[in-house]
Amino acid sequence: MNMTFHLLVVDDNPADVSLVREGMTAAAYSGKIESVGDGMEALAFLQKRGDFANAAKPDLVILDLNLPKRDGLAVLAAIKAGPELRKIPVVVFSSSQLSRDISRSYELGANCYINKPGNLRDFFSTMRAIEQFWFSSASLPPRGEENRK
Amino acid sequence: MKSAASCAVKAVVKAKSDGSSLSPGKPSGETAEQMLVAQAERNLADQKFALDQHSIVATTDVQGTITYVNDKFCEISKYPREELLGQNHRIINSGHHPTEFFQEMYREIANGKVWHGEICNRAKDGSLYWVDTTIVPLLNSDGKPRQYIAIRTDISERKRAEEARSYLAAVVQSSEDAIVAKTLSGVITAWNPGAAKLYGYSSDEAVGRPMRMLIPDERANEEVDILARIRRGESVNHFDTVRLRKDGTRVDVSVGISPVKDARGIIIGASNIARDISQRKQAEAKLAAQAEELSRQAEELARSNADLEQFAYVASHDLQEPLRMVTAYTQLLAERYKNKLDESADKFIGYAQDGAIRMQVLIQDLLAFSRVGRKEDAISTVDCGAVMEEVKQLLSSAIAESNAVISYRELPKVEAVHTQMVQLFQNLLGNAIKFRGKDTPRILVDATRKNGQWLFTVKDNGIGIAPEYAENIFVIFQRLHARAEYPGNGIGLAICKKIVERYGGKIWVESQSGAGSAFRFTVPVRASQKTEAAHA
Repeated sequence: MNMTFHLLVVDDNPADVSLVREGMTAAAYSGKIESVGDGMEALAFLQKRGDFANAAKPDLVILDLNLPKRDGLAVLAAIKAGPELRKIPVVVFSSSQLSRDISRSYELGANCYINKPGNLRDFFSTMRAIEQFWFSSASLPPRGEENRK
Repeated sequence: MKSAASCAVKAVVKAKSDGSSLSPGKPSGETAEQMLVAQAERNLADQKFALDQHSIVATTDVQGTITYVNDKFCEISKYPREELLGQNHRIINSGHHPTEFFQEMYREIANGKVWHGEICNRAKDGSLYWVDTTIVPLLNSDGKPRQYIAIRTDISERKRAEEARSYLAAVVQSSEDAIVAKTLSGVITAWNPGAAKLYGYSSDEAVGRPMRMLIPDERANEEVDILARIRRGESVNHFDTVRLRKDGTRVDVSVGISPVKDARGIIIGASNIARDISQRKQAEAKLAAQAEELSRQAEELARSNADLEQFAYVASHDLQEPLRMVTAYTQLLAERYKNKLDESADKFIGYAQDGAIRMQVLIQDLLAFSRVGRKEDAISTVDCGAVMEEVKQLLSSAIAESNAVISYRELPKVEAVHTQMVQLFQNLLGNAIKFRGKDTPRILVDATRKNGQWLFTVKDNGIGIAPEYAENIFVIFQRLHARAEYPGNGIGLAICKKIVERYGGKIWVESQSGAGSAFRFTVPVRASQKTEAAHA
């Protein structure tokens, strides 16, 4: 099966998005990386509304918590509330180390919680770990016809 | 009249000197004249008897030599008769009266006038007594005194009562307190100078007017209640209230009122004692204001401390975000463009990287410091021995690297947040290893109980600290050594201090440069006992 992975990065900080791209590239990820900058856009993207009518359903979402308009936890809750969307694995990727944020994320159904590393080496090794685990080791939920090309 | 009396007295004296009876029987065959004389003598004797029952009687000659004293005289003067007769009357002079007093008296009686006055005399035992005295000169036919007869009444009791009364009056007059007497209907009957001073009314202005004039309208009931209680015979204990002065100003007073009874025990009025307590009230108000100010300041301080902690937390947390970008991208620059730009560029990127990393550590330290004050963790009973084992585990690589020998003696259990006790010991032991000397580091931890506190000591044989820096080292970001020599940000001891002070303890260091250090801190025992009692 010739599949192109789709990764959605939800983060309002272009520098962070860029680091994710760099890190994933360095980790030899060859799929697509798309990004949105706030919670409303994230939901529109996932629900294919407005500008995102033609958006592909992502295989993995990397979700920051501190987002404008609707915060990451609200986005997470919305994803995990829908019968289709809930299948998409969500990696919460936040600089918050508050136990409140961590446990709330898991309560809402986050697939894992990763603290944003403070230096480049750790950041890149985290990206490598994500690539290895989600895109090489794990079996992702089967997609509908739409993404099969 | 006078000559008749002198004849009679002469007769009595004669009769007495004859040794004959004062009330002789009636001899038979006496003449009418004899009978009259006898009758007169009897009357005279009876009168003398009656006089002796009531009065102190003495006679002297014109020189003042005592020629006669009755029993009462002996009784009051406490002299036996034989010690008085023939003596000058001065024998009982008390010295109370000035010489002029007696000169005046003698002038009067020497001129044949009757003298009347009150005299203080001295008894044989030295005690004083007062007598109301009448001295009657008995005159010769030429009108000159031939002797004096003194008739006296003991007035010592009355004099004592008078003295007591005047003493009491003087006390009332000189009292700083306002002492006022009033009738049962509240009319002022007496007013001392203290009252005049306190209320501003003179005695003349106040006496006869109602006590009510001193009482502010809103306290009018006070006087009604007071008078009702006084009528029932009750006293009103001193209470703080407010009274009106003549000029309309108010004065804080403490007032006590007692019923006044007459000799028969009937309540006839009340005594009212008031003291100016405006100074005390002012002092109280000042104290209360100070206390309020203090508690306001304490509140403000607590609030500003909380604000500061919140600020430090938020700032350090929010600072981390952009800093993460700086760190990551300078590293990315370094990795991707090393040796592709010129030498200076590589150096600049290196400086930027170092700065960013150092800043990151500082922020993390600040975050750790500000977290100490946050009430997120629960206090429990912490076994310091177990904490030591945990800390030795955490420091295992530093211990292995330095061959440090860490020992501790029986450590107590304290009421604290477990992670904070770990941090406290970890920082202190970590420092002891870090600032080691040339010898193998030896660190001893012990605790003793003293004055309701546990005194912990962490003693090392390291490089020590010069006494002049003993205070500085507990201040956040204060360092004594160059970074290259001993790495670190100067946060460890600041955190230790904050932890110890959170539990109401103190931390200090006893050290000499080059002679090792003993870090000591206290943890109140009280807290743990209280908690144990609460659990029981």
